[in-house]
Amino acid sequence: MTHFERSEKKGSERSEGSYSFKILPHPADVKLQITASTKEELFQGALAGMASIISSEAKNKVLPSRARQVLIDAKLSKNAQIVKENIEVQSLDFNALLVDFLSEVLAKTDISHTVFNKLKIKKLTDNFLQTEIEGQKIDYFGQEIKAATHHGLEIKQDKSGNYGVTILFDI
Amino acid sequence: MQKENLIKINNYLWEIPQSFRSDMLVPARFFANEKLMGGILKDRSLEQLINVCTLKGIKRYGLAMPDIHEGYASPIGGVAAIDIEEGIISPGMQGYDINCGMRILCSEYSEAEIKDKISKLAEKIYQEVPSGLGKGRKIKMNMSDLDKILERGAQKLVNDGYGEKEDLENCEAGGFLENADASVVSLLAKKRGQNQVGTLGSGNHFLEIQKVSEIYDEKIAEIFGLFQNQIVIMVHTGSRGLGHQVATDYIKEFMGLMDKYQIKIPDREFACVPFKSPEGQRGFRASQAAANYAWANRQMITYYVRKAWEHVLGKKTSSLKTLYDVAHNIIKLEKYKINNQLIELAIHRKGATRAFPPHHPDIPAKYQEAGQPVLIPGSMGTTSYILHGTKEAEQSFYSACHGAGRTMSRHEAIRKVQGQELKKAMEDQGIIVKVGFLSGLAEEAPAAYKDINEVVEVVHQAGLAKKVVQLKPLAVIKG
Repeated sequence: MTHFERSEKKGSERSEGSYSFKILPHPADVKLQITASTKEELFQGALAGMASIISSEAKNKVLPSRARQVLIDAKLSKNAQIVKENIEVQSLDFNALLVDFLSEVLAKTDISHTVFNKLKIKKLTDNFLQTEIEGQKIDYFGQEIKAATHHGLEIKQDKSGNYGVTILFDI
Repeated sequence: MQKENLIKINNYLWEIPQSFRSDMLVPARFFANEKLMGGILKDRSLEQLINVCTLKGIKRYGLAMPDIHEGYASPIGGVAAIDIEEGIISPGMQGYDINCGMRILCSEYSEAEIKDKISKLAEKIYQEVPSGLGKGRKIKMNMSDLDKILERGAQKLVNDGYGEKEDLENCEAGGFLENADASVVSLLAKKRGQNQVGTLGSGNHFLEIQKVSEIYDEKIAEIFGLFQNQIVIMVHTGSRGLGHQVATDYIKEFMGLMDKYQIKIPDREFACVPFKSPEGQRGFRASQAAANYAWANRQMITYYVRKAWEHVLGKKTSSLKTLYDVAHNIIKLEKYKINNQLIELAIHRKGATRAFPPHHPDIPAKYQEAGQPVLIPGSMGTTSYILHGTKEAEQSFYSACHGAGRTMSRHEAIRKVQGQELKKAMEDQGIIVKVGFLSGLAEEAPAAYKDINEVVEVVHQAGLAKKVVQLKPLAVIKG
């Protein structure tokens, strides 16, 4: 499976390496629950989960005859243009850092029409992140995300040392 | 929240007393009937309304409209009136889609006169107005023009030939807020806004071709220029990526200032600073600039809808007239009497439509006798309403509902409702559907929303606004 596929079943869970994410129901918006073995993987999982929300519905395209909507399938063609960007985020604390990072990615997604799903972390502390993000250009988003919110967000570590968090996205 | 904790003020108004939670500065009040109450008690919306009551400087009550449902920070449908001298400004109390709002364009045609052209018109509008899920508009606006839009909103576009003077007269605030300042909007926000003027967006944003299906108040319908079976076009969108970024920027900045100003809040999304602080003033001016961008967006969409209209119905056809344009996510300065003193309040509306009464100085001259047109969209494919403002709405700081209000998550809707079946069901009702994504259609399924008729009835009975006409969709256009 690629990062861009997501089951639409309620509470379905996907696992990628040492992180997993699932979409939880919310009356108006979308909640993304991530668990990961490290802080770095937590950021990777959040990025992959957000990419999944942005791109997944694109496979439900209709009206293929519309010339101005030449939609590259969300699975992305081999020819899709790869985009890399550098991000530096300074935040109030670790919880805010995750939201601020995703907010930066959303802005870049909006401007460059790219779905970012991979990252190479160069430096990560409790309130600072320096990373390269990588993604692929798409012609059409499946779901527009207005914002990653701080609502009720708390990164927790369980007894086995795994990190977990739920992020509410305004869509 | 248990129903036993609520005080019934009347059949349509409920109160949560200030004593319910120690950090409440005022009681909470919300408008609902018994039927809507069941749904309201199911989610966390009343807990979120109680949180609204903790905001520094809040006056009278934390309020919610009958379409209240769970959001983040404030519930959707929330209204907070904050004293600007002693209170705060909270971007999260207006939401990320700054000046998300409605515009209605009226034609001079009845359904019978152009019935055979509706399908072609829907297709042409769909082509002319991109949803923005793709690449936005092909032309990027230069930064100088964008700054002018941020400071002069729809007026800048009308001056450039993208509309008529009447569009501004019939728009809240005349199409722009004077306190806006482009210099306090980040470069990132501006970059996001460069190619999105004239785009619809996704989610619950839509365009509908509708007909006036029922008239409740002949006299006011006439003042509004509405008649039975008249074709009108409803536009629902906001400030797009630019507005989202402005809210994101200031929520981040304000979060870092909470200790400095010794402000405590129950949810980080309420991040706020004193309204009169330098940071608060910057945030306010940026918010007003984003609101102006949204009015420009709806103005540009109007331009493209008119272009489509002329293409299908011919150049000699009469132009579509703007009935009204009003925000439902916004922070506005308005004056109210509090303890017999007229004071200026920052009214934070998050999913609530301003509804000014007759003779209010801030509504167009031609609506002085009727009150402001209050534009309430139903969920996709169902009925919508036009109401008029009333004096009684002073109790809600002249606010009414903004729609039906969700009851089902978008993903549950996608899971339960097949987009193709829904499309067919609407087409079987004679509704033309132009949609980019079937999942986008499914998530906005009527089953995912409260009954708009019930919600509007509460607004009507509570006196927040009174029904003028009902609208039925003939074509739905969305991303």
